[in-house]
Amino acid sequence: MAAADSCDGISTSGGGWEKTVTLVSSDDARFEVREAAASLSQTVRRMIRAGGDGGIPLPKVDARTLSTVLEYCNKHAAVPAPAPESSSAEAAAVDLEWFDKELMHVDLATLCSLIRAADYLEVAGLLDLTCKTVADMIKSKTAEEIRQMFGIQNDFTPEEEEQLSRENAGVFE
Amino acid sequence: FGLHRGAHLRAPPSKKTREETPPPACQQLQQLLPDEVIEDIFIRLPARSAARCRCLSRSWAAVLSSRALSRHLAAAANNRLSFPAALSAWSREHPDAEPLTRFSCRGLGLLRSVSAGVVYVCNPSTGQVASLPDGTATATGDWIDHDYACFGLGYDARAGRHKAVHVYYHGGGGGGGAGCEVYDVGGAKPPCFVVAGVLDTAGVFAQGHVYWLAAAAKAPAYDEWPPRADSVLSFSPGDETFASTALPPRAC
Repeated sequence: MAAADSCDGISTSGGGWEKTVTLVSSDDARFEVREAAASLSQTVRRMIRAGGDGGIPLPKVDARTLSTVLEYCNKHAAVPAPAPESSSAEAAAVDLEWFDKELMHVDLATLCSLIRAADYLEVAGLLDLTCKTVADMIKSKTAEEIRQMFGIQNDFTPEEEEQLSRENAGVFE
Repeated sequence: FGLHRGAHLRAPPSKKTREETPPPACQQLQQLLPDEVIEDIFIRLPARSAARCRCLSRSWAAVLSSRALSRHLAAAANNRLSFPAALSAWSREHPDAEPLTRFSCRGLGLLRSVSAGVVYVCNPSTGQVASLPDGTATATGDWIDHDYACFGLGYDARAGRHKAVHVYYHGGGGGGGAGCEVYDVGGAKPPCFVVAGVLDTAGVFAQGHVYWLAAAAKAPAYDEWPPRADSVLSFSPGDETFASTALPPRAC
């Protein structure tokens, strides 16, 4: 659906009549966005359908986070859907992958804000990307490094810890 | 040299450092993210990392022990091992061994050594193998050569152990009859049960039970071999009980 919308957007953007919506962040910043891009958020899409003017309020997302989310949406909604075998499709996919990777070069706190925003706004692709990024961060680290990263206090007794590592050894080794 | 070694030993990492560093205030994952999102993150972890995360703290252990998540992780562990490939690779190196189970039961499978007549539980990802007891609990010692014998491997989620079950039937003389043994893998001595019924396939472990196709409870006549399967026998590794359900019409 989104791909088809964006196709229309591309072909008509020269005409300059492309429909936009205004999103309002928790700190009252206003963002004017192409409807095709904003519709990647299921939450926004529902609100567009419900109608109303004066902009769509998003009280759970601050301006800084929203601008990153919209960066993602703009990029992903702008990708036309060319014939799947064509070389331009491949190039577009590579480009998107690059873009996603760059977008995820943020600290953990920002990443968590993005996850929360993607969850609230229901931007499936972004939620997937951010969760995967956190999972990758966890994957490559030792237990102590993960504790440090998330500020986790080890509240197990030594006996419990030993039992846990024994259990894990049995099932997963 | 003695002194030297002593000097090395005298410098253990100070245990206090962890308590002294305050946690970065904004980085408590669970305060930051809704539970279902945290699950979404953990679901993407390979089983080994998830297991590691379970040891981090009580609250992480709680999230990672949710039913949905542990089911998912178990499935992921099975997929990651690519069980049938691992098992057949393993048995290629041991030409005498023949896989009995086609699917992984939480990472383990059953093998039979043709010449030795012994059944093994194996972990193809690590190459670990343990033989099942040689069947002294049955009427005869030579239990592989029963008229038929079938095996299943199940996982008892409550006890957290694998259990192997062996169901057999003596068609000929010797008075062996039908019977069943349950082996706690890596555990105590096998309990022995008697079940009526005839079974013709290796068991499949699914939804916490081992299942076999089975034929009617009465022993088949000699010329009716192999007997027609008309029911499904299930075994619960948790309470070590059997149950039987009729096959749906026209299933076989």
